[in-house]
Amino acid sequence: MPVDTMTEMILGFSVIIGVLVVYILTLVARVRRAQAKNELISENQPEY
Amino acid sequence: MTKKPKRLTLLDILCLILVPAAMVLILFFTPTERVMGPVQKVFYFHVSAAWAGMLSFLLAAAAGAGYLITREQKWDWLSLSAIEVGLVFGLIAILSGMIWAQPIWNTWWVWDPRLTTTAIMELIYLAYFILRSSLDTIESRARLGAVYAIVSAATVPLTFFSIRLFRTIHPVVIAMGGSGGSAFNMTPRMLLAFFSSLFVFTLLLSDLVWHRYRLARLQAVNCGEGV
Amino acid sequence: MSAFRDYLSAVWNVLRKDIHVEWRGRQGVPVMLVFALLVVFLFNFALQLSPDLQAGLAAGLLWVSLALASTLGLNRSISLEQENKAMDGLLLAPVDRSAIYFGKVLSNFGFTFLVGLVLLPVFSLFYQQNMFKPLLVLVLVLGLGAYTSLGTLLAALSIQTRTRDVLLPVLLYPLALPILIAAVEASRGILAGQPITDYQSWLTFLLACNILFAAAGLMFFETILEE
Repeated sequence: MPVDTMTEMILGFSVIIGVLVVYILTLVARVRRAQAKNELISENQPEY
Repeated sequence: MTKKPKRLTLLDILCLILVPAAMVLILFFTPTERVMGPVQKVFYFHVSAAWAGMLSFLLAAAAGAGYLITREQKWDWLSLSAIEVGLVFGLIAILSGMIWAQPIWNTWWVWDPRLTTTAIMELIYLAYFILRSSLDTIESRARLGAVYAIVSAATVPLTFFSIRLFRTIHPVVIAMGGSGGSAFNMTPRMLLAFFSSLFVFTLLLSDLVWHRYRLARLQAVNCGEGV
Repeated sequence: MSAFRDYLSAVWNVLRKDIHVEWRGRQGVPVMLVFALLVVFLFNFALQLSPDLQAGLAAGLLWVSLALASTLGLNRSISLEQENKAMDGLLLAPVDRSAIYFGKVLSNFGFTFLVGLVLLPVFSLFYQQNMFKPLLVLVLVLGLGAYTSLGTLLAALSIQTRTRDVLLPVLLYPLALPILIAAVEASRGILAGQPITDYQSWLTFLLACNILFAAAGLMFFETILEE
């Protein structure tokens, strides 16, 4: 009869996926910010 | 920002499919281990994350060497990205390792060689970012960051072996090896899940590093550093 | 062959200069020694150590105090060069810059080794341990050799940053961990009177560390000092 560690397993997987998701979200946010800044810069400097 | 390459989109989709697929494999296809119960299944992703972290730091060292040889900025972007993503995977490895250990040994931390080495590695690579933020020029950040990345990668195996040698002399009942950890004790189903997880996490690593690289390049363009 | 002799004399000149500066000012070694003793006292009261200290604790305490004291010496050694722009003078010399590195390593090693030698009788007095064992001196040489090789390299790195010498401990301690583990284990074996076969793997390990970090210094010192 296996030990009941189901809660711990769920916790473990949640943490793994959770950290990944949080990191991806920070990446998305940072990319958006950088893209916005990039557009702002290219607006002010007309391309030749 | 240059258009997102098709290969990257493909990689994104692949990861989005394969990570849940691997989870399904682990949750429903592998046997539940007798001694530890379901929490043992966390081990597949735990080891894969640790593996991906180590791989990432090796990549960072190689990219650092690439920068020192060519002095092209893109190598620095790669090195930086690899270390940042490596830190994330290292964190996952440590947290999942702790959760795995808790119900079994009734303690949140074990001085297991692998867990301890990973924790030290996190500190080493956090120091990488502290180093970079205390430098004022793009060139010095790239150059000195590259040296640090290479030297750090060289010390990681040293750290691991010294701690493991230490543990064989001071054996501790708690060991992360055993039925949950040793590849030699796994049934065929467990082995399949294990290697699938390793593969999926390697894909995930490449995906995240690529995205982070593109961000680094975009930020550099914004600051007028050029490509 | 004369190029090699020029190299050696460059190393010797750096070493001789450092010894000369130390002899004139006498600020490096005494400060390191006092600091090491203070650390010993601190730990003694913080951990309530008993006079009949076990070999393991004595070894650990010895190396912790040496590692901490050595940081002072490393920082001082490298910032001395920065102060009077003496580094520029050294760098103008028509010799491979790694000569500066080896000269500095030798002087740093020498000063820390002196402190270590003084600590041995002090420990014998405080903790009723017979520390006058030749093998222990060998461990001091190997351990401090590796530690100062790595430390000199990282000191050169940290002095380039805005935070300067404050950064050195952050960079050095995690990377130096394998050296410290090996040194403590070897020392413990010697103090406990164990046969040499018990700890000779640690001695070999330390030797390997010396070679590795000296090679790293040879490869990267010049890169770190680029302008």
